[in-house]
Amino acid sequence: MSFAGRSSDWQMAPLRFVVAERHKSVINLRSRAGRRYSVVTECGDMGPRSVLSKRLPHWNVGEDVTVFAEAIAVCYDPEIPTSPPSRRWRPLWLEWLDFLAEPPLDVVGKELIEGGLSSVAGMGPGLTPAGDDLLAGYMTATKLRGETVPAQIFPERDTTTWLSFDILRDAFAGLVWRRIKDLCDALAGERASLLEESLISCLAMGHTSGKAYLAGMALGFEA
Amino acid sequence: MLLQRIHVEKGAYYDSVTLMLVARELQGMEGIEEASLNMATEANLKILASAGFDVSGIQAGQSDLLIAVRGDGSVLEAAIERARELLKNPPGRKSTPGEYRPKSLDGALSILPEANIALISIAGRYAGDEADECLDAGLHVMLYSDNVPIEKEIALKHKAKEKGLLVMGPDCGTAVIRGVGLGFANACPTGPVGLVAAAGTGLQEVHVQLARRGVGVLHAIGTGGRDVKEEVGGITFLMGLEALLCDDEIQVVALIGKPPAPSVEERILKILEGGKKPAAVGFIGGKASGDRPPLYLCRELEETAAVAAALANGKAPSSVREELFKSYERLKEKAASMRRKGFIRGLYSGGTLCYEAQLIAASLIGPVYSNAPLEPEMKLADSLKSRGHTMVDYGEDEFTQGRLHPMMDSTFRAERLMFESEDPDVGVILFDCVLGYGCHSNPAGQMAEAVEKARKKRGDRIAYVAYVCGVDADPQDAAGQRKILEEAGVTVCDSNAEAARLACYIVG
Repeated sequence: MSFAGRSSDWQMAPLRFVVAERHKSVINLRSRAGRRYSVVTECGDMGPRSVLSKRLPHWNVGEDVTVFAEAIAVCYDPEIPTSPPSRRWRPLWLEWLDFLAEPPLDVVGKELIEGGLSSVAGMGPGLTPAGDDLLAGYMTATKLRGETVPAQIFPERDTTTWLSFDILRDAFAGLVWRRIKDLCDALAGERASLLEESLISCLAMGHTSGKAYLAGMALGFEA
Repeated sequence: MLLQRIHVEKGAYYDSVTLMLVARELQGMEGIEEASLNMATEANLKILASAGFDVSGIQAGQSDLLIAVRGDGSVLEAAIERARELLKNPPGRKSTPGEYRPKSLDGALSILPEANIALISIAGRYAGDEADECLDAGLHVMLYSDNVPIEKEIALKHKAKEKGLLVMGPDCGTAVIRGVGLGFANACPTGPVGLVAAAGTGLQEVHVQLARRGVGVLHAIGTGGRDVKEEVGGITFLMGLEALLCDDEIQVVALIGKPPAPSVEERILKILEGGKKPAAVGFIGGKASGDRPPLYLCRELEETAAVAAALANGKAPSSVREELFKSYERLKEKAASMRRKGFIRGLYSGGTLCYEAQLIAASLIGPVYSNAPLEPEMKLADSLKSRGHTMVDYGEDEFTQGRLHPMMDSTFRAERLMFESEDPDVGVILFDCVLGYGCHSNPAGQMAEAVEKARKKRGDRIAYVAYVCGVDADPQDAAGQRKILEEAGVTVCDSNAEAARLACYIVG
């Protein structure tokens, strides 16, 4: 299997995995240490520990596979940018809080009011519950502001799905998916067209993932 | 046996497009014969009753939503539940992928800081405050919403004037700025004419009639009907007129509307007389008459367009007018072969078109009853019951509160057409189909279906006369719309004035 590119945090040494999930354009792999690694076919789906491939390998769920990465060029750096968001966009990110008043995210919004940030972990259906997307967004925004993410909002491992917990670990470490990174770059800049493009791309993430992530970022910016 | 159920959702406001979309979903359900979602206004309760629903004992006010369904008793409950579910997540109202819609004025301005105009289309009771915010942000306003209190309109317009901004509306359905249509606008060419109109479909008609004569419009400023009344004082009308007179790209000005208050009209004419540009003044039904260059006073919409086109093309307005009225005379020959006995029933989606038709009919065949009559004594006691010659404006507030404007959905009007066709005293049914952005995708289809049903039952007893206000470049394609009506046996005219005259000559 030849890969077109990798994220900068994918280790060079050969790695062995179990195929955990297979989707339309993504295969999620589980390393021996329990971390998620991904093979993706779309640039926009690159994230921490990802390789880009023209087509998905014919791997089945449960299969043991090995990936040799030393010959693959780096095409994505998942570290969030160091520039904070421009205040010019504040009216726009304040709107993202409204997502928490709309179904189906209103349940998360209500819980947030009643129990605070740490109570929303694992809330919502799907591989990445909306409550976790919100937390990841909050962590990303906090990092963008140059602040430290408060450890108490990081959930226990058993409160959510394997994949979601992994995303939260990355967000805590300041690692993000390409769509989010593009958004962070656009927020630091002054070009409305770029920001609009990246927002459209973020909102296309999952059924509610994009909206929940954006709402979390707005909370993080306003904290 | 068909059963009915009316559910009242207390204190639930939804816009009329959402209500229409949900009603359509319900109508597609197995076992549902009829479904209607409307705010519980007095008029809507009356309309439900006329559609055969038993509304006795309904405890609801105009802030409550009525979900009414008729059909197989076993599915009524499920239909109500389905409606409530759909209202939480309305069908067909989601942003399409590829667009991000800001949710607030500040958000929109951060994305589009160079914007200089805001179009507001929300419930009237909130619209005024939004307009206020837009003015504070330095934006011109097109206030599409109706039911904005007149005190609010006056306050907004005074504030706007101080800031050098225009407030078009409230109840401004159409405007054109630099050739770009806002609201219900037609896809007409851009050109040297500038319009100011206190009449939505009046503006559309003149815009379309100018296009028929190969003349384009650069700006068309809608003011809302109340602007030219004494209380408001024509603030937007006068500002719009001044702006057109100062614009080097505008060669000819055309003014459209019902007659303004005398003091307002006087100020308008004074400004025009002091200006250097020729102007066609179409205050239809007004008392002022006669040409005093550079002012040319007109009595009807098509005449206003013909005169403005003549001025733009360097022709003499008097000869163009003469030609137009000769063409109207020739309609008598056409009518001779279509003679019918009985009354005219006019069913209009355009308020100004209905008003103009009444004026023409009053001069040719005598007084006309209406829900929006020329004279108070001709007001229908019940807008749903015709008497004598009747012309109904379905765009009046009584029909549009909590339900779609007839330009967006002619279902209700089509039902009335079938009902009127049953009346042995009716000789002609006259109606309009207004096209353009924002209008129903196939109004002619909606009306033609009703005509076909009626003709199957009653044959050729009634003559159907219509006017399609639109151009071929409109999303609905005017030529295609005319063809649909003609194939259903409708006589289609080239202007609203022509259609009204033909109807009168047929029964006259």
